[in-house]
Amino acid sequence: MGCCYSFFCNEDGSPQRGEPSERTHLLVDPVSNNSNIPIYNSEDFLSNSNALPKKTDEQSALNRILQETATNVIDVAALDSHNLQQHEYVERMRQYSLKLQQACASNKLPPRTKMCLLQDIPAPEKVLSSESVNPDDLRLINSAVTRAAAAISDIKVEHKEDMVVMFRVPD
Amino acid sequence: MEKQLDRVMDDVLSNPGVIGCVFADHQGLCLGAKGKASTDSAGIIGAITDQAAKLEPQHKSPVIVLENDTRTCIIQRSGTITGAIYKNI
Amino acid sequence: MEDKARKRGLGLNPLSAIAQMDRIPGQVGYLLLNEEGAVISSAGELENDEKSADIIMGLIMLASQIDSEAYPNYEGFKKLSINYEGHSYVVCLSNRKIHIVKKLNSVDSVAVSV
Repeated sequence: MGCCYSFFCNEDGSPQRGEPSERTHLLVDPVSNNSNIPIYNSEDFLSNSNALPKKTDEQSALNRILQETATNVIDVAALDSHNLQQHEYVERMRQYSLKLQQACASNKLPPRTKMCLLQDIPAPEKVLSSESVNPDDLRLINSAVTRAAAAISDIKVEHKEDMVVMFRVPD
Repeated sequence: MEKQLDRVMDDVLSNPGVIGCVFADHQGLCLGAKGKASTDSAGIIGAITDQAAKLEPQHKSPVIVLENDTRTCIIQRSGTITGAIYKNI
Repeated sequence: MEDKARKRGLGLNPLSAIAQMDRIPGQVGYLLLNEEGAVISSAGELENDEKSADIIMGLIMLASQIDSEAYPNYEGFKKLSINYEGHSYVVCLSNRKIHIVKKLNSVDSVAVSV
């Protein structure tokens, strides 16, 4: 029986009164006890409007709600997990890398190497501690570039003949 | 004239250990190369001095030295020209 | 400190590289960069100096070769130094990390200027 029945039972003093059941409140509500105001819940209204629905109807209604909810929800986790197994991952990885190799081989792509003036060395502290520059080398480059700069500044275009030459236009 | 630059390069090559030298203008074009040196390297030498000059722009352009076990490359700019000297160690 | 790093499984211990750079005579600052140029560690006058890090990365990544005639069987340089009057930057690559040290020049090499 629905809860509406027990609600009515409370009113008419049915045999259920006083006996504990699944609808019996564990805590006594002082307000409803004193003034006899019934406590409604959503199920009460549902059942009331349908005038004592059978239990199977309620069950089917719940099932219907469950069904609708299930169709409206997209379970992302479930979608993902059922598709790819571990061995499928490996299989795909192999397939992709094979394709990649084929593509690289056919296009003759050079291996991507970073340009770097320096080579990797095992003991950086030795290099870093060494004298940064030989004073003789400093002197050499200094005098070389200074003299070269002076030499370059002396370079002039020697004007030997006319840049613009008039062609004789026949009359 | 460029004979003067030739003489400078000859003088540089006469120093012990020097195997080659290159001079480039401010655009990285080769002004001259002698000894074991390629005219092609003028561009990279110019680019190296340009980049190094950014480090402390308030100072006079630095001397850049690249070394490995057998060779040294010394680069410096003076005014608009850049010189590189290659040396055996 | 070093024990801690070893426990964390850092086989190529950056702390030892830092310790090494700390001990370099005349050092007034250093930068330790990874291969991409990101600062791993820095101190002194080069502390958090990403600008200098970028410039030096740009410098060493400019080319893989300087002169094919002077360096026919080329395998890279071991040391790059950028020398100003009085101080210099020394750069090398080790353990796939770029070590940059700023040093004050010792007295005998300061003597020369144009």
